[in-house]
Amino acid sequence: MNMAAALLLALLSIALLVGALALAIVLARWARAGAAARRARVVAPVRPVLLAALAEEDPPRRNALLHTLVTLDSRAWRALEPTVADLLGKLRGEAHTLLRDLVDGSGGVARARANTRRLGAVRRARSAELLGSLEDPRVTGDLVRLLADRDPEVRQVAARALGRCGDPVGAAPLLEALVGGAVPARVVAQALLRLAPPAQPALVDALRHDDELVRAVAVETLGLTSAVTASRAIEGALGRDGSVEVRIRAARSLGRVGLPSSLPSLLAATSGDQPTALRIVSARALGDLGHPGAVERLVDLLNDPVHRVAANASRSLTALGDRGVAALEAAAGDGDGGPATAHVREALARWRLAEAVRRDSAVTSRLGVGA
Amino acid sequence: MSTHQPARANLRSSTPSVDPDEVEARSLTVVVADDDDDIRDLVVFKLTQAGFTVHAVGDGREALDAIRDLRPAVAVLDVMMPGLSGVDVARAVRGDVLLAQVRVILLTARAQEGDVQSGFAVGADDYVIKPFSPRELVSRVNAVLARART
Repeated sequence: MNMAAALLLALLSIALLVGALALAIVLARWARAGAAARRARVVAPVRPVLLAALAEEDPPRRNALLHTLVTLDSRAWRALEPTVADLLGKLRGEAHTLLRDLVDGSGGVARARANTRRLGAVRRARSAELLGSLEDPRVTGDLVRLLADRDPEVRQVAARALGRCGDPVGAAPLLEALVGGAVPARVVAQALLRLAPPAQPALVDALRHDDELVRAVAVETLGLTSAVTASRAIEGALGRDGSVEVRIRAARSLGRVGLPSSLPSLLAATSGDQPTALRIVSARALGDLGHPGAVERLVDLLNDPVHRVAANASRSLTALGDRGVAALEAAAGDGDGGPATAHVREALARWRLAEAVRRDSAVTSRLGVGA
Repeated sequence: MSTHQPARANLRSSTPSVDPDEVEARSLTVVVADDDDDIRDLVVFKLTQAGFTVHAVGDGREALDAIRDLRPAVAVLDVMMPGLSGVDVARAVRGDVLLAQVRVILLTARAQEGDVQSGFAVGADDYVIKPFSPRELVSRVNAVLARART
């Protein structure tokens, strides 16, 4: 075989390969469209029954419709199940209870629990999604087990599902899943937010955890859920934790929780011997706290050599009402034109702008005119 | 039962009717806009069962057309829709003096709670957060109508 023939053969082989690939794609799409059309045909007569059951107010009539759905043959149920699973995550109240009873009555819960042990990751993730939407504590154990799944996507789905499930028992395993990065902190935090406030005791316990990330996520979540009863524990984390990152999040959380009793802890965190990053966040948290007892300290911080501490102190003063604004105006008048004066003027300008916008919005609202 | 009818594209709010019978019928009309077929059909089913005449559409542009054509008592708008968002539609409704009587309820996912503020800023009357109870949605529709009458 000469060179030209070899080249021709190679090109022919490539063309055949591309053709076969294109054919495979077309066939796969055709098969998928066919399956979707078949599913739509099967679902068409039973979907109105499902909607009628969800809308029905009369219990006997609702139960009759539910019975019709529970006794569907397996082909019709398989076709309807994705719609049921989708609606489970979007509805609550009686409609959600009915969907849960429907899944349970048709054997869907048992099937999903069994599927969490199957080989396919997609099947395990889909089952976790369904189990989470049921909001049923019976399945918490299955979802906790999936937090250690070999597939990272399945672990994330299980974490989100635990949040939706609403069982506070899931909080401690979720926090534990942070160790070693089994589940990303963002996913765990969002799930924990859904579980709080019943999960707050587990979050407080986690403030003593060996892992820095666990403590940081726990203290941040406590702040985001306004955990008033945990304020002492958060103050402890701010004052004593060995990690600056945890202390920063504790300061931010105390500002969000907003208890006046947290003032001394936050004032101490702004002192000059504390880490700079902590002082910056604490100066801002004093504004979130909104306690007028912080005015004097914040005025002192206007001359802080760290630019961001001074800037946050000036912004926080505008959040402390008339006393804070009066202190800023006095500082603007006394200023020597240095950096502190610049911070003060910037904060006052922002505050005046916000006040003007607020006044305009109030007028617009009273006139009933859209923005 | 529901008149799950298409929008009358030729009618616009610039040609308001003064027929008293139409005003009475309109007081029970609700426009529902959601691109999620299952949710939209369920809301239509529930509101129809509650005695309303419901007109359902799947995107924001169609919703605005339907509101201008039908001038319903209430518009239930999903915030996240193709074309115009629910907030955009609410803004357009509030900007049209001929639609001043239309009450607007926004339907929004929990993750979009910031949209609630935007919705109120442009003049929405109420909002319902997903996951939601269909029964509660009907109560909210009745409540905004009751507020409108007082």
